[in-house]
Amino acid sequence: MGEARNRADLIIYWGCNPVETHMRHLSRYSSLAKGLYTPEGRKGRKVVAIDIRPTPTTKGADLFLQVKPGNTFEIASVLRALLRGERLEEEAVAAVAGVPLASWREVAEAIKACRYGVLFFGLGVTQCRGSDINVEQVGLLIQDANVHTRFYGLAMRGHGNVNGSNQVMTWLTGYPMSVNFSHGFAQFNPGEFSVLPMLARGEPDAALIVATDPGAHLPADAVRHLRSIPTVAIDPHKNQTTPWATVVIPVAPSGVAAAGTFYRMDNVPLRVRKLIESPYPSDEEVLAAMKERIDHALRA
Amino acid sequence: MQLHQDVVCTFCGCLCDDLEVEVEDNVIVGVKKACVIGKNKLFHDSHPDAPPPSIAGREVSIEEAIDEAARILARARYPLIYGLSSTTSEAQRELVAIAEKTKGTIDNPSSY
Amino acid sequence: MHCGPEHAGPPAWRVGSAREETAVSHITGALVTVRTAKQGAEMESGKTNAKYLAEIATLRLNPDDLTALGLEEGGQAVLASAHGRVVVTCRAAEGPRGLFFLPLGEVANRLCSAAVTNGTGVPQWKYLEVTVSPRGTGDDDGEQAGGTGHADVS
Repeated sequence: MGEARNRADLIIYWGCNPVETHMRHLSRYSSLAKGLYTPEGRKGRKVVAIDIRPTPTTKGADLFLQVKPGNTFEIASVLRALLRGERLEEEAVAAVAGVPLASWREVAEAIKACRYGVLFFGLGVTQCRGSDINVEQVGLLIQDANVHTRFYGLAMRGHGNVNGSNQVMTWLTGYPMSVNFSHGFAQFNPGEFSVLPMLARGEPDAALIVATDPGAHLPADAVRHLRSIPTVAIDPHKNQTTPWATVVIPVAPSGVAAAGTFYRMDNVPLRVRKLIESPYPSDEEVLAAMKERIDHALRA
Repeated sequence: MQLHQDVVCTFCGCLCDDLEVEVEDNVIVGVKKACVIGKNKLFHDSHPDAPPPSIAGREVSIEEAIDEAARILARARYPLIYGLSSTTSEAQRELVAIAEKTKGTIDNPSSY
Repeated sequence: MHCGPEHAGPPAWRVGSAREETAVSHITGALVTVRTAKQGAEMESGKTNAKYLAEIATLRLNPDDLTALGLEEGGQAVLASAHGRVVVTCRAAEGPRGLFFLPLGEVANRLCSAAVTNGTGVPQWKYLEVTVSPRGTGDDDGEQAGGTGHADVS
């Protein structure tokens, strides 16, 4: 994000609303930041927003394309076609996602004309109908943009170290998420081994939940299965899972009472510190002890 | 009172690393430069409303809770290990090891 | 500059039969879950906090839809999907007619199913067909929303 801050003269926010979710993103890293080659800050940048409704983020943009929901793949495809110089006839493709082709041309021209562009995309892109193929098409769009200029894409990661979970799982298993070890080796298949389909099929016969709150954030039927099996919850706070979990283990909050490594959304690892003492051990200490005891039980 | 400079906020993927945090008697009493969410998170983390360690609703020691968790996971045929998103990478590494040992499935919120 | 159709609602958008001249019995449209500043800030003060529980049960919808339902700002409505029904408090907000916005949370999750991900693992958090009707007009008001932490509403 140092690149975005110091170089980007075009910022695109697509399906994300950092003014409300990543409140300092704009002033520290993106549209409002003043950097080495962007001394004028907001004045020296063009800002484009793509969303299904007006938000505080879209209101700060120079160009806002209000699209119909469910069209991420189509939008990425039309932008790719325009960047690749495909002939699109206005009569045949009058509008994409409810927005006239002329407006998409304006976005494509802005990409071609910029010195350094960054696309920040959020759950509006990744959770939109099509999900994984959307992300693939957005990745290809970024490749196509790099034929014309320097262009970078970045997912607006929500949780503080969700990126770290992708990094660590990738070092250790080769895959960033949804890894199944039932055959004794790592298999990867989101949609099959992701948390929601696993719970929807009712397959897990026990669960270990660490640093997240399925009781609040997963669909009711997924929670119903978790409540029917032995579930271990490890969390620094009471949440909507701890009241019913079979085993509850309180821990020291990471970055406040426990030190360790977190990965920023642009893959930069940062050391988080211990500022106060907690009466409870860290996640790492609890899990290392648990691992030893599981080993011992499995050998017995 | 201790003043901590350049503290990293752990709420969102921005990991703003310029916070100033004042600590008095092991309690966070001041947070500067953070956004409202980060500020609330730091104060909340400092006044813990941690649930007591428990097994089936019965309060136990941390050691007993870890023992029982290990028993459940060692006995499971197909455990699900899920979460990881708001903890350290050091803890995440332990979770991958536990998933492999128990022949389970491990996932984090980036799958949805 | 703002480009976009006057009416960017989903094609499924339609209103139910009129109860009175000024109000309709229900509107069929799509629910989109979102983050809000308040949801984030209050969640981080603890998920048992009353402001968080009120925020995750607050529905934002187009002011014309609110009027069509005969509801006032702050009025209560029942949201129903194929998987569940919840009671929400309505607030008018900018956005196309027929699109309804709820913050991420336990209330929205009573309307979604982990079984419907179209093979992706992602539930319909960004487009779930729902009907919204004023509370008290249907035969069943559904469960009172408010984040009990229990997910026992089918």
